[in-house]
Amino acid sequence: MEISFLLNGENVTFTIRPGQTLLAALRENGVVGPKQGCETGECGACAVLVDGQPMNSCVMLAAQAVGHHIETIEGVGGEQQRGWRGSEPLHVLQHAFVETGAIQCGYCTPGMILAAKALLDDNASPTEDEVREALAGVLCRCTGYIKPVQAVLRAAAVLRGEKVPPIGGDKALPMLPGLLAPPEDSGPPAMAGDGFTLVKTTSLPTIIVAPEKPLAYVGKPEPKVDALKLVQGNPAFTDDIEMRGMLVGKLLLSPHAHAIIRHIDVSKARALPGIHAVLTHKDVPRVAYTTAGQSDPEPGPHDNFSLDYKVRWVGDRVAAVAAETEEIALQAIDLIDVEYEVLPAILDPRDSMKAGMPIIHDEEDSWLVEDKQRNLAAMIDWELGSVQKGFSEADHIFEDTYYSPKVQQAPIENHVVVTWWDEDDRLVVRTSTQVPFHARRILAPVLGLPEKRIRVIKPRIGGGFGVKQEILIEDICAHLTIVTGRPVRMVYTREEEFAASRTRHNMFVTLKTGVKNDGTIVANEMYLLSDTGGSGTHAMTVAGNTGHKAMALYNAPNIKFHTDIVYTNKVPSGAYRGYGVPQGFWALEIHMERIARALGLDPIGFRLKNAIKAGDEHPVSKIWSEGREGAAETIHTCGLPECANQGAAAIRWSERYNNPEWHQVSGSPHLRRGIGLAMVMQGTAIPNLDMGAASIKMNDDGSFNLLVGATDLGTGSDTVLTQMAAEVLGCPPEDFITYSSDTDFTPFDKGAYASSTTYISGRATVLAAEKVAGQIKAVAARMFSKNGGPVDEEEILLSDRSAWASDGRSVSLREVALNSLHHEAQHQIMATASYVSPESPPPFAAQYATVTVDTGTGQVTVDELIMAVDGGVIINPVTASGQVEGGMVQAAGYAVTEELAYDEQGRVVNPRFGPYWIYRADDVPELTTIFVETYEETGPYGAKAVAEIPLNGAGPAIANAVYDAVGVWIKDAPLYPEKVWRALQEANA
Amino acid sequence: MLYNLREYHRAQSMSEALNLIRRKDITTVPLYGGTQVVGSGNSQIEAVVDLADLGLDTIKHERQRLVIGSMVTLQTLVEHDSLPDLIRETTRRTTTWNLRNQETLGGVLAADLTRSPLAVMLAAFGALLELADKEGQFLLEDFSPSLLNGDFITTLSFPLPDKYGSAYEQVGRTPADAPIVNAAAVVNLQEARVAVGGLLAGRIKVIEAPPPGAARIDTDGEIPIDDYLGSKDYRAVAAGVLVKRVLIAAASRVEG
Repeated sequence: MEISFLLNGENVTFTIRPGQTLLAALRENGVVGPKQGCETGECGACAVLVDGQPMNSCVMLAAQAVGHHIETIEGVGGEQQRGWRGSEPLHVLQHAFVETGAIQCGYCTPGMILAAKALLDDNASPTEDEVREALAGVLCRCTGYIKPVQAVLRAAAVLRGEKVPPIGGDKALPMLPGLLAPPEDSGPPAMAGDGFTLVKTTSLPTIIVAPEKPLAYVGKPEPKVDALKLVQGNPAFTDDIEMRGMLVGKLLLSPHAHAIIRHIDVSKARALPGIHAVLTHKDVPRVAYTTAGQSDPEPGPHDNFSLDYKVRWVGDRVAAVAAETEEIALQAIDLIDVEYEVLPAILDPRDSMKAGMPIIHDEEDSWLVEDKQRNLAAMIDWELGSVQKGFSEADHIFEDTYYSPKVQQAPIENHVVVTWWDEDDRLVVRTSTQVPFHARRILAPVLGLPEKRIRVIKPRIGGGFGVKQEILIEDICAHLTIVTGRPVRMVYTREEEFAASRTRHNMFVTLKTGVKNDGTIVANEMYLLSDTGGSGTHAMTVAGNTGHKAMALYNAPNIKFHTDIVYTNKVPSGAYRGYGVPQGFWALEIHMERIARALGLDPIGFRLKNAIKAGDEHPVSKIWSEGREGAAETIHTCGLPECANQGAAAIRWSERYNNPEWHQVSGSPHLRRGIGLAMVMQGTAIPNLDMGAASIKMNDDGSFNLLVGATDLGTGSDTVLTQMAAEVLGCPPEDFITYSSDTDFTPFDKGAYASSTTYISGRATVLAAEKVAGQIKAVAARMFSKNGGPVDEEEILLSDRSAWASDGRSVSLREVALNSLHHEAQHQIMATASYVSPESPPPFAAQYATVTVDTGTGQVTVDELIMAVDGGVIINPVTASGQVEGGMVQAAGYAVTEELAYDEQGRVVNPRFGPYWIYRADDVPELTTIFVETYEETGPYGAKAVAEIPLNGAGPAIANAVYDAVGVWIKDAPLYPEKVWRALQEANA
Repeated sequence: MLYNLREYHRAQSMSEALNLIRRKDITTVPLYGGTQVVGSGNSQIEAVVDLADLGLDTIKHERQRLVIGSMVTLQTLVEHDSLPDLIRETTRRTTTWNLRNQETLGGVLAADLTRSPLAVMLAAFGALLELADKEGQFLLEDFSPSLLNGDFITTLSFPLPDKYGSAYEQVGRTPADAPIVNAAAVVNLQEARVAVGGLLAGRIKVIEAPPPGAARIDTDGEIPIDDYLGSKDYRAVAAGVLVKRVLIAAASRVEG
């Protein structure tokens, strides 16, 4: 049927199918600003304006658009940089989103801007609450909403004609010691062994200062290099292309948690007009592989098959189809007849290793599985010193078990892949991946192609958080292209993302800790039972990381770690930002709080007394490293005490802790306030394993192509890498065309994981830039010598887009480029460099939280989250603080709202954003980020990392705050109201 | 996606809409705002009838009752000054601005109204529904979507007492979360009416003479909600807590 309506001010006519949503119709007609994030209207990535009001186009039939004016992001601002036509101005809102760093992955940006535009069109002076209310319909998993709210308020001020201040980046003074002192009437906090208390802090925290060298671009709030395309809704994402003859791929997923496919009849599906392929396990090669995108050799079980005769979780693959439309593909799925032999299922990891349980991976051809008969995917065991000896020396022993749930990464862009054969009969895989190079290597044997005949293109990614460190649907989409010869697009639905993708590992963590009377920890033992679900992807390394990081923070002389990672019949667990460490700190930091309280110790002092310090050896470094033997690493920088003090001052710890009056809420006797903290660490990259590389090429005009294999999934890594190259080469970031990434054109990079990009890929970028700088100086020296006296290359400085001799003469970079390419001794100025680190310098942080608990219902409201982070030198304060803000909100969700809930048949019962619930703009806590910058000598410009550490502390800080409020320990996340209420009932009984 | 949808109709009269919906040879459903139907991805749906042109988007005062058309959007309710504040507030809490611009009163009530803040508040006001075909009026708490087979909601109305107080409370995972349990009360000098959501499967429970200080609200043999967000026992107790709170708050707000 044909429909006509007004689109961005112009009359258009679309040919649509009756069931087509407005979102699908717009995108099919090249209007790609609205994005698919769900199919239920709950995420708002698809928002458009209908007669000036924001509405979600995924839950609106295209036919409903008739008679209305539809506006998309494409109609909001002027076109940019269109050659001789020039640029038209961006909308003030777009400009504000770029300036404030409100854009991380950019996938939700069009929806947010449209909602904000509708608000400001009606209300020139909105309050912050009104802005949050307006943005609440658009979910963002990256930002924590602070910067988008800031952008809207800033734009409103500009539109009112007010002058707005520049976006910051200036370093604030640390809190003065007077603010750290408690009120006189609250009584002194208990003393820890070495006499450390907040009261006795009499000098400013020691901030290790970076070498005094003025920097032009590093450390500055440079706008993101990709912001302009994202703020306009340009076709930057994987799904934003159309190809002639492209088919739609869809999967038939298992309705059973554990079953054998006895018979499968696809004849009716294949007979459906418009169907081009139907694949089952009988149609594709059987190759055991791992979906974990890790360096070679992948350490985890190879227990995955593109299609198998057995299904191991509800949502496991049964068959795949390729059709001319999505409707036909879904109709074909309904026509596939499958006869299952349903097997008993394991849904509780505590049952997995019991005798008589079903064997989930009983096939012979999977490998690197620890013990198939016991459903044991992997196991790790190590000990430093002797915990038995340590326990025998301890005055007190504390032991308990803590649980952290199965949660989903939930990037707003789902998994999406487009595959096709190119003109050289090479398979092109355009995919939203964090690991393009690992993807190519892992796909090759699965598809029966050598790596050289596969090209993986990573366009803009709409968030990943680890779930796109999986080779999840690239293989099946490629199989469909191999069979049909046609381009195929495959996009997960939100329900598939929840039920058939990957999650964080749910873990039971048992801690046993021996402590002396003075608060010295003498032994610490962790037993970890990790649930890897139906596949062992990342099984060993995630659990190993839990021990590697959580057991390192408190540097006891005796430490023991054992983990069993077991299979269950649930959706596989995988990589999720933090990579096992949040689970470890959830347990450890509640445990430490309990010990401090039980022994009457000041919780801050007790932790700092035992915490690892600069100059210490990382205790676990030489024992274990990604399943290999490690190498000893020394902690060079540790700003944890300063983080603890600055965070405490910011949250007014000394005024509130132990202050009965503050814990009460006036007029609401059923409400109680509480305050809590946690201290955490992480790593920065995987030492001696993961490598990043960068290439820089100079162009005629003195600009540069910066080619990196690193993958910016919204974090801002493309921007910080560019800032570092700009610093070396003396020209602004806007002179770089930064491209990331394409296995044909960009150098290898391990990808975006393990908090490694700034540190590893950054160092590679700096090294490449230094090589290019050397080449530029050589040319410039020759040019100076020809037009005056000789100049020593070593004395030439690069700055302000020029090379400067010590006598004040200069040549522009453009002149250097033209000289080298066209005039004399012609050659291309370019260089490539690689970097692999022997060390993994940990970032540290102190996380504080305040909560309000309803003692009648158990509802926990998180009021404030403050994180003070030592991430080394911050390359870009706007992108880095955005990482911390967004990370804290994810972590709060992990603690309070998020859990994949299962029924008795192993089905996820809340596979939608609403029932699952990630925080919205109108219910996030107040967030504060404090950077305590230390100079890490091994890092580029002194940087460490901030990407993952924000996930580690909010959960236990919130749980500890709940105890502080109402006196009950909640050891199992999330803190649903009923859990808190039940704990209160038990305590009162 | 409604991948088996073959027909989209925009009805111009009630009878045309009813005739289309009643067809036996093609599964046809009414489209209020569309968000629930389109978002359901229901493969059984083969045709939809858009009710947008039927004139059901008005709000009127009739004999001390407010009469609201089923096609009035939630955002219109939020912005309508003559509605009681708590009707506007619970409408705001029902969903986000984007969806309030799309969702209609009829759409909310035809879907799962169990925990809708708006539906629970309306039930406390004693709201009555009218359908296009079935005669009579249905109390909201007696209404079930199964009554809509071959029919659709046209209006909802509720009385505005002269002097009354009202209150609403909910418990959720966050303040903006959909409620796990919620309660609303409308109290005047003669009577108190309390509505509770999140307790009974598919229905709102209304208590016309709530006992003072009840520790829990029982389900009286009806099917309770018992899920990952809260067990039936917890819901009963939380309902008791909320009912007590809304009664106290509503009573304190009774004018005069």
